[in-house]
Amino acid sequence: MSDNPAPVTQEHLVFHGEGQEYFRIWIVNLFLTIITLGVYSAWAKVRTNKYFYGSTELAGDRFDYLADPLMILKGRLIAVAALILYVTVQTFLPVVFIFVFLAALAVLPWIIMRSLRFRAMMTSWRGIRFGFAGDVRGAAIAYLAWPLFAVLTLGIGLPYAWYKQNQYVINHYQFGRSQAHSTTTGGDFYVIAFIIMGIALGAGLLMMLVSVLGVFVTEVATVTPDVVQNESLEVEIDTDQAAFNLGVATSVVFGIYFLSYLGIYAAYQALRYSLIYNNIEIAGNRTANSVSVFSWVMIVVVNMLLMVVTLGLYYPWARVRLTRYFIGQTRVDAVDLDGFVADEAAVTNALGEEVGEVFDLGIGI
Amino acid sequence: MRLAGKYYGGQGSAPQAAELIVDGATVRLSGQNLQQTIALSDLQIPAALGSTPRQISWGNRGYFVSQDESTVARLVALTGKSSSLGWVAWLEQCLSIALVALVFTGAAIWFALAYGVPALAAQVAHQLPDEVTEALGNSTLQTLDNLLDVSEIELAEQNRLRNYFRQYGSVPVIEFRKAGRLGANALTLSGTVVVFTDELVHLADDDVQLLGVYLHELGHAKLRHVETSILQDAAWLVLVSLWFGDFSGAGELLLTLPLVVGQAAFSQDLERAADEYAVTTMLAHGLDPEPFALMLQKLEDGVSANEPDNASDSESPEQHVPPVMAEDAAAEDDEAGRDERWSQVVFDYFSTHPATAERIAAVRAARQKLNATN
Repeated sequence: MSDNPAPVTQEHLVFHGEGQEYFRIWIVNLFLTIITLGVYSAWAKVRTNKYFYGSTELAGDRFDYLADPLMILKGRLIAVAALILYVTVQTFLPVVFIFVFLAALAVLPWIIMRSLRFRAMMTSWRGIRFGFAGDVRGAAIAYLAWPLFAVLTLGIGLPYAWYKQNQYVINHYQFGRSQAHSTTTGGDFYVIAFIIMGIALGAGLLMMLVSVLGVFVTEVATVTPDVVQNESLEVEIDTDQAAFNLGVATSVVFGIYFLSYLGIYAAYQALRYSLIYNNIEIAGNRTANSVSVFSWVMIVVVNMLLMVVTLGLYYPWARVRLTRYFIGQTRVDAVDLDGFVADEAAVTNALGEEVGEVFDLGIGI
Repeated sequence: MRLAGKYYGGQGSAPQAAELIVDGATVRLSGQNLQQTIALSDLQIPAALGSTPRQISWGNRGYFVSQDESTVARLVALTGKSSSLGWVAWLEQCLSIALVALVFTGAAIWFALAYGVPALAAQVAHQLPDEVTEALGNSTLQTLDNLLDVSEIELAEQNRLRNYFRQYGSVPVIEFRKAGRLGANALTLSGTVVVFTDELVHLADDDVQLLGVYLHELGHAKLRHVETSILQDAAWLVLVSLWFGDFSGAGELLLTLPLVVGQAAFSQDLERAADEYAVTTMLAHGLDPEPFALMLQKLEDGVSANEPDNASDSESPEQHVPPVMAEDAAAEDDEAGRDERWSQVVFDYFSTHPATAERIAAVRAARQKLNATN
């Protein structure tokens, strides 16, 4: 052991993407996907990922996404066929459906593992690919057994299940020949869970308040129909207007409910991503992430409002905003970024992984 | 031409400062401890993607990258090749094209929702084998039986009604149930199953009024409306996955909005079609459709009913608006009149059934037309 610890350089990740730049890529993707009845969607996905990865810079170099669109197209066609089958069976043959559902559950760990492997192998930096060495058994334990445990313990085991899933994903990730490690503890996930419960409680109180106000507004704004039926009453009451007011009041309350749920979910995302990306170590290089829950939630909520107002057109800017924030809060405390070596065996196995792309789970780093 | 940048061989993450020097038809990769000669025609330069630096390769494992995008562009011109997605990059670079694409996309989505998906769903609904519609109807009936009670109408009376109805058009399964909360209602569960509630039977003054309702439900059944609705929802789901598969999280919620909004309008069209079927059938058998109009009125004045999912029913007023106010289409041209019409318009848009007054008027108009031609 050397007495002098290796010097650490703080390498801040930078996101170079721009909303109007991505808008053009996105709209052309959409246009071509529609006129090709979905076939172009595989190329669109590759292009989108190449753009986002290629706009992310670490220590002067960008990431890359290496998937072959034809592979992805194959995977998608399988997925669409499976989806049609799933929906058909669910609607028209409900008795058989239960078996289909169980079969899908049984295949899930394998799909998750392949999806993780695909995403990892198709990501590269400085010409070296990432990799994933987890097996199906590990996936079954992480994604079936531990959630079952969470259910059996009435939710108390849920943060621990998250912890176990994170261990499965991160601890089997590789960059070149180097193994990744997660430095989170089970306790970290319980802390997140408590914070979320606190936020949910606060939001719940807010929603109750809104409900009470909503009921009050409703009482004031509407008239019971019986009054109108009573022909002896001379006064004309505008039930149309009343009903309209009721509709508006209901929509506003509903909107506030929706934003509250969105806020809670966004807070959960922020806490979880921040924890995971603050605790990855590869060959002595450590990640650090300083995402703030408040900033993240604000970005997500404003994004949603703007997307609703623009009928979805704001999406490219929304996605870039959130990505820029997240990447901008991530850094690597680097000991040696030049010493990584490619995993030769993995390079030849990169092909034929398209099955993992099938249900497009997008899990992974 | 010289292009300065970095080279990564693909074996390790240590960068090597290098230059690409173009000399006629050959290119030299030159750096410390690094010398390679490449044919200009072997260079692969990907199409522009936003402003991301392009990774130049030549069938090797690694890549060369430069921050000097303008020289890279000149190099692309020199090679005389365009990458396979060059035309896509060209589309992306032109803002006016982006706007055209935008308009087209919006139109395509609207078209699919308004015409494409319903038409396709209707086609498939009519092709469905009988076993499927039977299975659908029977399983929905089983589910409904959790909410409904056994009918209190005498079996003899039930069969009498069944025989009476079947003179005008038949459906394999006609059932009666006591509804309780559901109130006076009739439901079509699939192309083969129609359900009447006892309350509806008691509400009618005579058999002909019930016949009108039966024929409306028969319309739903024969025109395969239930199956069409289900298939439409499923088709939209698949289409959305294909087109928008890359949206994440809450964005997907937004994508179901057009369907929710469109569903009400679609449902109204189906109700009108069923009404038309009923009226046409009655007229074809020499019957006056007025009892059907009267029955609609009786249902409107009666207790409101709730509708279960994926079943089409006769009557479900969303709000209790006396017909007199709804029919005030020719209201005075003052503010109050206009506000009234506007809120009615908004409510009508979101109702699953057309306004009752409109339906009654349509029935009477059909009768009028026939009388006029006689």
